[in-house]
Amino acid sequence: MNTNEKAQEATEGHIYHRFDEELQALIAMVGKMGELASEQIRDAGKAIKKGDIDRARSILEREKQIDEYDRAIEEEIHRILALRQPMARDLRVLLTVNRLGSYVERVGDQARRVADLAIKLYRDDAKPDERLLAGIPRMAKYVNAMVEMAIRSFQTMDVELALEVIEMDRDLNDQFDNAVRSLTTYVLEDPRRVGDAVHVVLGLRSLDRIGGHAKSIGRQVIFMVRGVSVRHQKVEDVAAEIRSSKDS
Amino acid sequence: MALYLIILVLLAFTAFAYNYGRKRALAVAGTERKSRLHSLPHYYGAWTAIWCSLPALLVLGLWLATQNTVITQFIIDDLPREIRELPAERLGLVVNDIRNQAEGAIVSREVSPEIQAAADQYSRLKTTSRMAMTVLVLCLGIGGGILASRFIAPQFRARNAVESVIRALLILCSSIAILTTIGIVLSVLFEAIRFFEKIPIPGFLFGLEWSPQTAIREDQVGSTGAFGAVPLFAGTLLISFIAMVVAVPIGLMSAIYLSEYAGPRLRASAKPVLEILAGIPTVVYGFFAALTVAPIIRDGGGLLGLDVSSESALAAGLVMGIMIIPFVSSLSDDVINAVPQSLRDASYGIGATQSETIRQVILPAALPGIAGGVLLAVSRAIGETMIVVMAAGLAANLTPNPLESVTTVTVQIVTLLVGDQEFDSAKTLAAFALGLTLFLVTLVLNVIALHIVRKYREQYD
Amino acid sequence: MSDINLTTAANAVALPPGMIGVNDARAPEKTEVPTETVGVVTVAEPRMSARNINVYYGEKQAINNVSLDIGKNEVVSMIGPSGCGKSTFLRCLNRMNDTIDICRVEGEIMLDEEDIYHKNMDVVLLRARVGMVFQKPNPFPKSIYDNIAYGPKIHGLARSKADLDEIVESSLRKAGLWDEVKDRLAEPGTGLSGGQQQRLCIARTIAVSPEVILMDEPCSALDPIATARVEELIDELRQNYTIAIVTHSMQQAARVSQRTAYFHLGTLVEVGNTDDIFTNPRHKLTEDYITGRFG
Repeated sequence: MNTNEKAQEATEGHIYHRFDEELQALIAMVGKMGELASEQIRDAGKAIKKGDIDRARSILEREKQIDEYDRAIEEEIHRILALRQPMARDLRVLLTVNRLGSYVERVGDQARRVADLAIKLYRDDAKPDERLLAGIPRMAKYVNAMVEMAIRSFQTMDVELALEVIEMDRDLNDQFDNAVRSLTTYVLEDPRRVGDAVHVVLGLRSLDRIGGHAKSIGRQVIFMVRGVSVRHQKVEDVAAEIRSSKDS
Repeated sequence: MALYLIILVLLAFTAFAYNYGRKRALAVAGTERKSRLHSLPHYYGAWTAIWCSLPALLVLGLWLATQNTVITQFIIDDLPREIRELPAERLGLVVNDIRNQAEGAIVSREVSPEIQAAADQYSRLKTTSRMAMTVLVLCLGIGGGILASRFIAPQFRARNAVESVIRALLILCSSIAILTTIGIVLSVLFEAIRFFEKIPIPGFLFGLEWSPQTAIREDQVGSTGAFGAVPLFAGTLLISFIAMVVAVPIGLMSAIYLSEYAGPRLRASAKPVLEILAGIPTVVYGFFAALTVAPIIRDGGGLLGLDVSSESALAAGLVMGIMIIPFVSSLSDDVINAVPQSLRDASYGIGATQSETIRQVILPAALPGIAGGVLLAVSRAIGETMIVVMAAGLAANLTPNPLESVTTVTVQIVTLLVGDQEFDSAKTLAAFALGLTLFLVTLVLNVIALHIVRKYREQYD
Repeated sequence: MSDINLTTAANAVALPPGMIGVNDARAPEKTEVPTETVGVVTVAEPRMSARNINVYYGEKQAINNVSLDIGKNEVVSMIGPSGCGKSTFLRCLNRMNDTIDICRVEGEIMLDEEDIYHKNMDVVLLRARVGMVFQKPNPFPKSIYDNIAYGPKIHGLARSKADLDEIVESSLRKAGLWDEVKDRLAEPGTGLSGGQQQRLCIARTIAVSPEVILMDEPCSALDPIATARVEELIDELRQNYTIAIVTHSMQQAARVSQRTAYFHLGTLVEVGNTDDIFTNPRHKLTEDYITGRFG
């Protein structure tokens, strides 16, 4: 089944056609917001890698747009809840969108911090060491993929994809640990760079957070589709449940 | 031209006018919003047709109604003086002769030359009048149609005009019924007033003796007569009471059975059968009362050692009661059916049985309506004539004993007016006074009954 | 971040284990009329239990193989589109369908271990135990007092006038109407407002001390404020009575009931905790109806 059809089906068929349109518009809005956020992450990674301060500054500018989306989505949800009194799946879609709004907004915040880091590292035409940057560009790419997948799993109501995002988070944690470990080694070798290293760790932390938000989005998508909260369950249990129900 | 021909031609004109009006309306209509027709084309047709037919028909009717009077007046004016100065009745006879002569009917006496001349004149006048009428009516028809079609323009509000003509027609029809009623009341009232000029009202209303035989000759026995209506009303009430005693329980219970217990199939067949009772001519009930019921009661009374008159109030009342049963049952049935099903459901839902529900919920709810129905039946019973004429007797006894013979108001009216009567004696006029009183009584009963019924209806609508 | 878990809010009704969490196996999404009910139709402590009920109006089958328990002190709501058989099912529970000649009921309905369709069951007594409140407020055209006293009188529940007075007062109190009408008990019941009339009808039902109260769209003729009063009353009555309510308003079902049953074309499609039905229904038909997609 084409995954887009699934999302279509989930929002269609209300006796009030306007409600269909409102839900679809809302989902589209979350998609755009997600795109914007993942662009921020990508740009932040590039800014760090290439020392592109201008690019980093433009990230700070675009951050406002994300906040604007967050506000608009919240207003629209508020309105729909009051006017339509949605139930069951519709209600879950709205609750999910509500959470997604704030998750994505936080993703944007963290991307901005990475951009801040780029500005700090490259200020006064500094040329930071390759090892100092540790795995930041690679990790940025990785969390960017997570966020994109999470948003896509929402747009297509794809539980499998959401589950994949959740599982990726574990890999991301490993990456974070590795990066911190190598950074520690680097600082031990050259204690003068400890100040920069602390900033880099904070950047890594931000990326790790972004991954965490992507994972939360994945869990929320599973809740939306299946009506059961999996937010405080172990990944293995959730995966086992979903895959077993799929077999049956 | 014969009358029916005139009307036919007029109808043809009207049909033509309708078509013409319609076509003309379509012709004058433009496609612009401003010049579009105000009403549908057939309203313009109807408008033209109304103007073509209505004034012509009105004139025709008026002409027909007045032409005889007018022509007669002309004839009388032409008659020799000695005939003209005859008293009114005899002059009428002469005029009749003239008319008969003119129309070739049998004349009551030798035809004198004056009469012959007058008859010829009458015929001529009649022919002229007919001619004039034909011309006038047809001209009016054509003229009206043409005039009306002149009005046709897109802005002309033909629909409103036609609607108001229709409304006027409807008002006219409904007022005919009302006017007729008023006319009846007035005619009875005037005669009754003449009666009350001879016999005072209190004596009539409260007198205990009824003996309307007045002496026609000085030396006749029976002399002055007595016109106390109390025995008649007492008899009427006695018979009506017996009738209601029979009709109300039986009618009500059959209504309850039919509406609450009977299955749809039984109900579908039983109700019409019951209503057939209402369709039997009252004369037939009269036979039944006089020839079957009265002897049975008399013989039965005899067996019990009672002295029963052969024309007893009981016999008349019983049969009248049977006659009224369908009235009571059909009205009660309607009222009981009008009690909302929700009340029955409520009662059953609490665990009431069917008879508890009927006794404590349905009957109280339907009571005002049933009372209204019973009152209507009472007024029917009071006004009933044929049964009592045949079964109740003529003697105006003032007695509460149903086994004796009594008489009723309607019976007395019939006997007073049957046969050759002078319309200026108290005896004959008494019938009108009785009629008026009866009318008032039943009117009051009907008003009360309708009021009760209406008040009840409002509760559930 | 909020830690409130939306789907496991406490359920008021005792349910057999396995009820919560059955959600895991989502029913196949199909739109044809199902033959089996999704969810658990039984409860631990049933007051009434219907098994395999079929109802026919003449040739036409109005209810197809419906089984449902109504537990002690719970409010069960029945929802579904018009003509789905929910009212018909409700009317089976106190044999109100007996008053319709062409109606035929098959199956078994137990009220406290007694088969209510058994030939020894007295319908009159049954209806005193299973009372009914109707869609349109239908007070008798009698005084407020007589409206309430009617039931106790025909069932001989009061030995004296004082007894009767007490029953009338306590019934009106339970229906939350006493303070509004205590000074005008002799006035006709039809003179009350719509909401008051409906509470009068509820008081009238309570007056014969039923075990179960059936309500057939009790608020559909009332304005929102009167509706809220009646719904609040229903919630209070749950302490002492078992209540089954048919409603067209899903919000009403959500507000007053602990369990909800969804009927569709004469079948019971799904039954479950009201919380679950309205947040996460398992059958597609239920979900479509609840989210306003029916038709």
